[in-house]
Amino acid sequence: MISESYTMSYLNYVILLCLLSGILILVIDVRSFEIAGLNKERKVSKFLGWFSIIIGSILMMSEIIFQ
Amino acid sequence: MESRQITVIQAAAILVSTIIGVGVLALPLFAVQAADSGAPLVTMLGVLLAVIGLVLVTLLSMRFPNHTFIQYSELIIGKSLARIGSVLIIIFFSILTSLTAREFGEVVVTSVLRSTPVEVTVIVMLLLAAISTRNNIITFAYIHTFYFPLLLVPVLLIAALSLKNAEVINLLPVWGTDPKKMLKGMLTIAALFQGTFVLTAVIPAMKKPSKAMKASLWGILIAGGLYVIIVAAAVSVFGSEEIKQLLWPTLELAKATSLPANILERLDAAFLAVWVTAVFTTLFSSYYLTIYFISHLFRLREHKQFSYFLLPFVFVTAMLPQNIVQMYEIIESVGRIGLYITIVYPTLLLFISILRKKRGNPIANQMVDPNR
Repeated sequence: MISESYTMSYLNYVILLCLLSGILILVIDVRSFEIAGLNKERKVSKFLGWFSIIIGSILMMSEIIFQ
Repeated sequence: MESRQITVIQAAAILVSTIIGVGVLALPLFAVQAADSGAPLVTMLGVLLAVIGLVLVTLLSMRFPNHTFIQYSELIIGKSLARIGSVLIIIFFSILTSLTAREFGEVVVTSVLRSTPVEVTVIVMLLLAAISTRNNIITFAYIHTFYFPLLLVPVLLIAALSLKNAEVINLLPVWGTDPKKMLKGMLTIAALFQGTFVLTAVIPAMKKPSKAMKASLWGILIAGGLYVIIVAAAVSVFGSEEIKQLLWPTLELAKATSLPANILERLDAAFLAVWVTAVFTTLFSSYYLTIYFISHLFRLREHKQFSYFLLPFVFVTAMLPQNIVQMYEIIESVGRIGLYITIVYPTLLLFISILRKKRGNPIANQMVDPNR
């Protein structure tokens, strides 16, 4: 359902966005919070970053398997 | 930590550029569907309802000048109940963000970039908003203030120039033909003003929160006045029956308008350029409010980690409507439901805070964390 809109499949865009957002959070935000000494924010960012990457990877695997 | 920096003019500019946005294109259609030739009147009534809602929200925020909505709702009705309300507000504004992005995408692929997939236009706009929301509330205010004249002047100019094709008879009778449909139309028009809720995040960073009411009234009256002018211009030029056949009457109005001496014979391209900026500022506010409230809900000192995280979720929500017709049905329904969240809920909070004599500390040039 998620990949069948009236336009074209947008699952590929979702995978790209999930992976990109996860990488950006881990590279930019986690590091900046570490430098600023904001420990709680660093932990939350780390969780959010990995969560995005895992969701993106699961979607990519399912796209490859079920296509 | 920095001192409070946002001025009354900046707060008013935030409101104006937040309100004027994607909805301006379909606005005359919504008004005409509700009241035919009474479209300007129904728009005025919708603005009036929005003014009442904003005044109540401002009064509530002024009672707690050092707290944001998430914080003082917990003080007023307790943590568990307030958190349910806060989650609903966050969900509502994330949906509003996604629908704004989708409406933008549909207009762009229909009228400008016909071969570009709607997904790409939506992602580009969301990315732009996501990157901008990583700044603090002071920068947020500066961005809005910068774009404010760029939005207001061209739109006023187009509305004024279009009046040379106007026929006053198209505006008669001024109360329309079916007053029963007016209430629904009023709610639909009032729903276009829900971005004004951003004021709850702005007041805690204002230099003088006691002057927030002045900013609210100026902001909503400028934007509301502009909306009434646009509707009156569109109805007087095209007539109500013709507008019902148009998807985006304001865009058609710009097409039918020319600069004096035919310097530009149609203004739709210029209008769309301004409109893209207007959509950005609206999207920017709703996106900012969403991540700002999430960070407050989880007691975090920074909100920027949510800017990229929300991107895929907002994008998926934006792509859920199957076509333009369904998208506008969803926008109207979500808008009307949103009135409970952005007007009824804060009004309840205001009355409870008065009854329970809950009030924040008066402000005395206190320090505010710009990242909050």
